[in-house]
Amino acid sequence: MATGCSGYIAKTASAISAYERYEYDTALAKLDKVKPAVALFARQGDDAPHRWPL
Amino acid sequence: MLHTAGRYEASIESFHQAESLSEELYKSLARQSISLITNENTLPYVGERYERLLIPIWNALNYASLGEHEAALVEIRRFNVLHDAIYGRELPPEDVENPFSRYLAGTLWEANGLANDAYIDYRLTHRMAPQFPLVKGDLLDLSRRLGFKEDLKKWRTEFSHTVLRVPSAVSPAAASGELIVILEAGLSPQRYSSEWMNPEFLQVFPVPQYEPRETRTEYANLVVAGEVVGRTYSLASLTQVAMATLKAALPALTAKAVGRTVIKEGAAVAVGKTVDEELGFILGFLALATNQVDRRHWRTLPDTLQIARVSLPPGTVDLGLNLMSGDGETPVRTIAIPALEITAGGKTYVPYRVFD
Repeated sequence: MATGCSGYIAKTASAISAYERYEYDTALAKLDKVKPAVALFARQGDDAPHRWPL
Repeated sequence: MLHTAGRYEASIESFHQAESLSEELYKSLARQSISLITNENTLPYVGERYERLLIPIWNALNYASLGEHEAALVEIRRFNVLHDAIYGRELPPEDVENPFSRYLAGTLWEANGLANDAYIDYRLTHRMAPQFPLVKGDLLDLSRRLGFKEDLKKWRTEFSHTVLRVPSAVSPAAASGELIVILEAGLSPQRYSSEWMNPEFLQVFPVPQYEPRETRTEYANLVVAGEVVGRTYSLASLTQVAMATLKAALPALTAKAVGRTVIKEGAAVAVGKTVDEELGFILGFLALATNQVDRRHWRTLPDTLQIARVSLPPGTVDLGLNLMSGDGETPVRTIAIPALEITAGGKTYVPYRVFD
């Protein structure tokens, strides 16, 4: 689970970096990639996305 | 991000989800009692109070940008309900209040023909940000239009020495439309883990701090057909609001940090004495290592929120935004926003995000 959390955080942080470079499409595409992880956490009853709502 | 990218409908949906989730999590705050033994990071993030209040404001901006002024007003009403739920009827301390929200609300009441409500929010804006020049014109204009003679007299006296550089922000002639530009400039501060030495325990405790990030854009000139027709004025520093909010919460956060360390260290010492000395040492080390501060916050917020209002003839306008540095002479960058529709007697809202 730790790996899942780190991946979620890293991908979201990467989306924010793209956003701050005015690369909005890239940023939103990166966030889309986070969605499956969020869904997986939800299925497992893990509230990690709520703890890291970047 | 969707808001900044101009995908307003999708942004509205996301913000509504965030609002529901935040409310749901807030109601489960009872779980916070466990945070003394573990740490804040194990709890869902509800959002700081000022962050939660910004959700309906951002959605009001989304609706206003789509030209849906009535729906924008619904978000302003949600903001008022949430504000009352958080702070009660009293105004919160000035340094954590955000006058931008009040002023935006004022313009939206006006856009919906509700001048009385607009006047109330303009008065609040002036009380919170007396240096903000645009609202002075609004107060003079609305008190005159609403027949508030005493108020009009008071504002005339108070603003008698003020040169109202309001290129027509108010009282647009019937044949004109109003362009309202909202500039979201810079980056909000970053939260990091700092240390505080407790003289009583002679021990270092982790506490959160904010590090502001530099914003080069002090304001922006609005250029139409090669002429400067107005400028933005800063109405809120979210950096200051974030820092003031943290400062107010710091005593409680520090007390929690001390409490956590004392409990964990106490447990480690007990284990060292009664079970195993080496295990006690390891537990003591882990206790310090897991004493992480909560560094979560709404990271994509701007440093400042600025606003400009100008009256323009109806039609299609190509707008230039000249971002200016603090000295007022050095342009940071020029931005072109083409094909804005100005309608007679209407308001056109244009939010724009810059990180410079």
